[in-house]
Parts: sequence; structure tokens; C-alpha cells
Amino acid sequence: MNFTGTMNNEDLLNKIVRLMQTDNSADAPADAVNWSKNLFRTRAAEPKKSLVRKVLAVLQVDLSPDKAVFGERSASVSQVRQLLFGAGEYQIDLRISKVNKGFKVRGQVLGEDFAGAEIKLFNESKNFTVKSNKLSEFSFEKIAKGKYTLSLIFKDQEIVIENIKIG
Amino acid sequence: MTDITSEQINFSAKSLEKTDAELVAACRRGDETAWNTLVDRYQRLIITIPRRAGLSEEQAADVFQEVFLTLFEKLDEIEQPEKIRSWMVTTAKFKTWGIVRGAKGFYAPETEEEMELEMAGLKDASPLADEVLIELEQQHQIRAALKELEERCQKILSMIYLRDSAASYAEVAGAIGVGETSISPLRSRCLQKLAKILK
Repeated sequence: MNFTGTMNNEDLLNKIVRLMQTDNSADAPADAVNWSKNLFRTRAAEPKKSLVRKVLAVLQVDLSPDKAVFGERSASVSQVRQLLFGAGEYQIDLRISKVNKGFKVRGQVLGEDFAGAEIKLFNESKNFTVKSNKLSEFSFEKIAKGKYTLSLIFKDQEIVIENIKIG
Repeated sequence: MTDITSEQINFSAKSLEKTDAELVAACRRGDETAWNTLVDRYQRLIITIPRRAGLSEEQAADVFQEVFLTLFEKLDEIEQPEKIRSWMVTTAKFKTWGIVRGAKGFYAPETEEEMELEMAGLKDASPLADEVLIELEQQHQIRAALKELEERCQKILSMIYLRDSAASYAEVAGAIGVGETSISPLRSRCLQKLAKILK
């Protein structure tokens, strides 16, 4: 199927009209477009002399509190939202639960040792920093509803998870 | 199953403001505007692929983000930047099929080669058949070419052909401020200009 090969002008015009009339495509969600555009900032902002390797994590699993785990026959559902991100050789298991005053965000880096890493949870108005323990676990308490970025810095690499919706 | 190539589509990208290859080169030099242009140029085409395959909006957005993340990660390695459209379409198809297969409880191949073999063996691959993807790419090129036309032509053709319910000649005439009898010849002329860009 091609446009100009053996097609005369009238057939070409008819084809263009048909394709326009059947074009029911729509724009991608603004969030997804902005996320994709923002990817470039990690490249542009990367200091040239820095030895820190930045890796953007990709969401692999999102289990909301009202969903049973896929493939499991669960009689009850969890009240904790579980998110699993992949970043190179690491996976980051995040669990978000509602507590009295805000939300609790717990996490664990799965893979090679990630103990003692600097873990930052931040957005435009707030910035929290903790260290991961011997099991590469970390926890943030009393986090307000909003969109956050999670940065995990360990030795020569930084894992970044953007647009985490809390609440 | 073969990849869709630029030759098969046969719509030249010469009429676009900057070619894909020029944009990729600019991205490699750290030009964020070029990257944003690439995302804007292909966002609708890429999101349409998982949507057309019946994925949910959330799943489609995941595929979309993974395609651009993969492109971003491979920016410096792409050997034929003039073919990134086909590459992105193939990547979106691959990632979409991974989800479709997984949701049906089928084995989801890990490599593109394995995936192509699996897809070739399926009886009904219609949601993402090559012909469908070719049409999506052609529609993308028509939309891009439409932007090359002067504003009046863009408005006339969009109102008549691109809306869910086509506008009447009277409505188009009212929108661009000419008599209704002028619309038919104007439409015809604009269509010829569009075809010329696409040739």
C-alpha cells in the first residue's frame, strides 16, 4: 500500500480524504507528554564532570488498595498501595498507606546492596531526606497528599522516580 | 512479519519543518526544544497504537512513556535517525503486544525477535496488523502536512474532513468569512496543495 507509486492524482486525493475522515486519533494525555518531555532535563541538567549515573525508574506494577493482587485468589484486599519500579539492575518496591496525619511511604531497593543511600522525597514545596538501612529499606512519615519525586543516591548512581502520586 | 519502512509508507518527510534526523542530531547536542518537538510530533501517533489495540488509557500511557524513555535512552546509539518514526512505531507495537499477551495469560516473549515470531503465529493480529499501522503513519503524515498549509486551508480541510461530524459548507464559509459558493473550489485547491506536500 503506497500513496504515490501507481496512483493517479484523483485516487491520491480520494485516499487522503478517506484517511482524514477515518482519523479518529486523539492527543496523548498531557501528563504522559510532559513526563516524556521532562526526560530530557535529566540529560540537559547532568553535570559534564559528574561521575554520578542517573537512571530513571519505570513503573512496572501499581496495585491500588482496592485491587487484589493479579493472579492471586485473595479474600481480602490490602489497604496499602504497592508500586514496583524498575531501574537498570534494581527494582524499587514502594508502599504507600494512609495514616492519621497524611501518608506513610515505605520502600525497599531490591537488587545489589543499597544500604546507607541518601533517599530524597520532594516536590516544589517540600523536601524530605532519609538514609536506607542495612536491608536497603527506607521510610517517610506524615507525607502530605501530592505529587513527588523520589531520588535514591548511592555511590556513583542516582535512581529517579518522577510523578509519584500520593493520596 | 516485516517492519514497516519509510519506503512502504512513501510519504516523504521533506515538507516537515525539521527532519527527524535533524531533530535527533539537535537532541544529541543537548537541544531540549528539539526533543520537545519530537515528542509533540509523535505523541498522537504513538498513543494511538496501544489505544487501537484495545488497551486501557492507563496501559496506553505506560506504553507511550516506555517508548519515549527507550528513545531517550538510545538517542546516542540510533544509527538511522531518519527512520525513528518506523522505529518508534515498531517499539510501541512490541510493548503493546507484551501487555496484550500478558493480560491473556499467554507467554510474553522478552525479545523483539521472539515477539515477532509469536505475533506471526497468531490467527488474529488485526488490531496491530501492518496495514493498520501503515494507515496510522499515513494519517500522522497527513496531519503533519496539514500544518504546512496556510491557516485558511488548514481550517477548511480540518473542518470538512477531520471532525467527528463534518462541518457544512455554510459553517466553513462562516468560519473563514467567505461566501458559501467559494468553499467547494477552495476545498479542492487546498486538497491539491496538501497532496503536493505529501508527494
